[in-house]
Amino acid sequence: MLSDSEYDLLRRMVEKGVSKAKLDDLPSIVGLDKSAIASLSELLQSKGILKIMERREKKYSLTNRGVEALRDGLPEENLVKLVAQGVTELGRIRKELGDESGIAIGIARRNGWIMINKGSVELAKPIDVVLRELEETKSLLRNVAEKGSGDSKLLGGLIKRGLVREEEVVEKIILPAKPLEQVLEEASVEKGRLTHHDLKTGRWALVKLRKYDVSAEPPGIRLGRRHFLSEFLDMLRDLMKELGFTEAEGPLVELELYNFDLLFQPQDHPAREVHDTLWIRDPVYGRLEGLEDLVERVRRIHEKGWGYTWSTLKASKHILRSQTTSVSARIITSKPDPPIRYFSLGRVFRSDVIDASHLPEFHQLDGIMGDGSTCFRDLLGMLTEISGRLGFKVRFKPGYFPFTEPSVEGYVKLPTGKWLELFGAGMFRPEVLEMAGISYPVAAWGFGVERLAAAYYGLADIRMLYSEDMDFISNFPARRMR
Amino acid sequence: MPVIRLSLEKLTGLTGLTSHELKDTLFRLKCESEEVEPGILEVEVNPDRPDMLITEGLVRAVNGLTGEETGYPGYPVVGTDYTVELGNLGARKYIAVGVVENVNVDEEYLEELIQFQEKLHVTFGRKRRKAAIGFHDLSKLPCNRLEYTYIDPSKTRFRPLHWDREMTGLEVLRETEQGKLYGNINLEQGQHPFLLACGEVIAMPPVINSDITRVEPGTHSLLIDVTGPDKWTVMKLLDIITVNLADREGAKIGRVKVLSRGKETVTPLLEEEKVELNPDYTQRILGLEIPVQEQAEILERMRYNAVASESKLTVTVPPYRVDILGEIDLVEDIAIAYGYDNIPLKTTWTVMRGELSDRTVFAREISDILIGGGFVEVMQLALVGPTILAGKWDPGTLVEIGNPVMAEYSILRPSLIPGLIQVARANISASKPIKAFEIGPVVYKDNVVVKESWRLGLLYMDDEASYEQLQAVVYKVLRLLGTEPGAAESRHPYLIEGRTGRIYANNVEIGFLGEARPDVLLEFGVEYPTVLAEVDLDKLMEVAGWIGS
Repeated sequence: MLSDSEYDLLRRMVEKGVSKAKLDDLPSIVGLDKSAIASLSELLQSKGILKIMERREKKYSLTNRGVEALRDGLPEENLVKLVAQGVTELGRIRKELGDESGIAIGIARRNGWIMINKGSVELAKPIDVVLRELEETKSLLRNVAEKGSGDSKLLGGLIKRGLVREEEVVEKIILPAKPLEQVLEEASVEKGRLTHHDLKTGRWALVKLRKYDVSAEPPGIRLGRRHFLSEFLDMLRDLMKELGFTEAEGPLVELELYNFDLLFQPQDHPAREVHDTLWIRDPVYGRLEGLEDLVERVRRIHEKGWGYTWSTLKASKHILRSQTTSVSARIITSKPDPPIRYFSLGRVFRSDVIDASHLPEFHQLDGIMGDGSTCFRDLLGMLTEISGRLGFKVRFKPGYFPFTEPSVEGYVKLPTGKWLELFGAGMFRPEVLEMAGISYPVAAWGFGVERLAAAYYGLADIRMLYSEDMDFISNFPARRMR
Repeated sequence: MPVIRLSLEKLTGLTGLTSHELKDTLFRLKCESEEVEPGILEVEVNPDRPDMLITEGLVRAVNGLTGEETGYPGYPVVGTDYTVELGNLGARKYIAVGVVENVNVDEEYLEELIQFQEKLHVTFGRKRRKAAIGFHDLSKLPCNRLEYTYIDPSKTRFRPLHWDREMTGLEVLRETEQGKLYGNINLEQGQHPFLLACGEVIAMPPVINSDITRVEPGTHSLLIDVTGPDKWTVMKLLDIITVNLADREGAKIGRVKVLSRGKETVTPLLEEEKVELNPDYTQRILGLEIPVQEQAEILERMRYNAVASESKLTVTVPPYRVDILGEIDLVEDIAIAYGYDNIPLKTTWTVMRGELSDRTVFAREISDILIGGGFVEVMQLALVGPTILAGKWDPGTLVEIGNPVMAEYSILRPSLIPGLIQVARANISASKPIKAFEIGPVVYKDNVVVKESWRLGLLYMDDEASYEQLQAVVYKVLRLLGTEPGAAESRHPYLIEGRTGRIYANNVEIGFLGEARPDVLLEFGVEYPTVLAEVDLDKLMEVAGWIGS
């Protein structure tokens, strides 16, 4: 039985044609870590597959003095060079060479390079011959420095002189105890993972897969996910589509005309004041070109209904829409033939300070329906249906909106026991229909999305809907939407 | 929405209901209520019913709905010898004055009266701009001949309400809290409205009254003045006040003559209005078949007088109902009295085929593809601030809010890229790689015209992150949508030159892609290489032929 990694080592050795190799050389040949090879080969030796032979070898290296000699010259070399330069007085030579002078003189004399006569030194051979002979010693030193090897007989003198150090090292040689191809062929392997190679070569049949701890916790992973609020919006869209509603869109930067005037909100209505509605620095006003008929109808009906002088300029002012009912207003001014069923889902903006239950920007879902004879009973029925599909039993309360009559608000009880205002709704006022230029009744409603979504997901703080934390989004619990 | 605090004991006493029944009935009358402390009921009143901002008004409506008292009995009005002469007037040119005798103010009622006045000021009076109210102790008036006129406040002295010294009108505007709040409403060319009694100031509308006519516990009868630039609002406000005061036991409304250049009118008007209601209209709007006689009875419970004939109802609308513009408003009251809960729901409709918008369908497809690539969707607000735009955008292209609440939310995002860098920053300690996308609207100015478009933004951040890692994703998306991708070298303030490409789909430019510049990343504290891309989905949708079905 071989382990996966033992098998792997042997396979690599066979692939690279290794029959006998030093342990030190193997890592670069088979591409495995030296310590892994060392322990695997021990294991394989115990299984009688590999043999590890030890070879003792002498290794040479320069001592500090050897390094210096190679760099600054051997003492005897320095001696003969001095003499060649004309320094012959023994006393002065001793002074120049210092401690090295004794060795230098001894060697030079032994080699027959100098003679000493009455305290005066002279060369016994021409200097170039002496230097050539010296070169033999130096090349020995160089060889040691570069390769760490050399002939022990030749190096004996240098070792004695303390220029070269001799050490004995043990080198491991790895060689097969059996033909490895055969071992591989016959081995059964215990492995952690099944590989492509196993399947391709048929090795899988010999492979014994190690048991896993199947209950161990796997590593963490981040999956691609839809954002949970985005999913919630889509759930609402699907719900409306199921009920036969078609999705419509409108601009975020809207004219007051569509956001307020067409919805019969008088121009001095508190909701239109600076502290409630966000306006655009530039361009402050939009264009009403092509809307002359509509503008005249709006003027007439405002002035008749509220008794004030209506301002076209005010109606042309740009604001960030405060309600998606502006989209509903746009739809009815296009005078579609009944039956109509439209919804819009988009961002609206308010002058609110951000906190756990307020955002300066949130989504609304608006819907309108008019089949020619749509009545308040249809509206209450449809609102009950929508609420029911969201899993809520709704409680109706009469309400007030400037653009609907009768008006109704829908409240639902949350699992926490708190009541949530789910929607505001009503039949568009006759004035609204007349301004738009249609003659059939239209039921309309608007849902606030974020508070509903926060309640739905059990989030205490509405700001968590816009978390930027990837792990929070990616790990958000999946749930059946409805 | 205005909220008033009333005595629960007084309300239950006057209606004969338990507190639970009372709350339930108020709910049916559009009012949410809650006992916030023992004995105190907080009632939220809709702004269309200023007549219900006081105990008497609520009781009138509640007792009607329960059938305790019905119809509009009218209010007897007696003549008085009080007159108001109009002088030189500016914009605040209308005044209505009335007397209510035997109101008998005690401590509790005084508090309620002040609350009533304050709530009317805020709502119907539009913070005193459209109309403002003054209450005076009738017995303390210096005389019965009043004058309403604009005069120079610097030359007019009086002692303002609750002050212990006299001051000039100008000092009132500068030194009193009310003067600072409301002083600029009606100061016109150095003149301000004053109400005088035999030359003595009793009010400086809409700012403050004089202390000499101060109403206090023990005051028997009241004189009420309402002033404003809008006649209808002024007249109606006086109607609402006098009627509610007259509902006090034993109280009576007194008429005051208003004299203007020899012409004489009388206030309060207390004019009833007749509205004709076609009973079929009720049926058409509500979808309920309610016999005409029953409709009349229901309207009586909503405190109208209603006379039924075969084909129509003639309805008398009380003067305090300022929310009745036409027959539709009567229909709502019929529905309210009928009870929304009693209306049978209609739950069958013609089958219609609903459709999602092109953008929705397209965004879903792209999201699905990207999620397959391990990208996580993020959602951010479209409102951003100058900090995150970091001066890298041409101010001429930014759509800025004129009255932002906070600088952080003062500009509509011109691109998804700044937000994605925020996402990168927020996730620097999360495990890498960070792969995120966002789909949503951006708003910008193009040649002074405001434009909006839907964009796809992509973020890739890791220990190492390179152009082609995100390019591969963008190209794959474009190919899956059936378009041929392409790119050309480009520049972008956030991206490294030479590693930034303009992206094409079928040779139409649809966005850009590139490696974020290290200085930009470090400016936002992002210490990881980041690649960013933005694609205009509206353009891509067109190129890919995903519009319409």
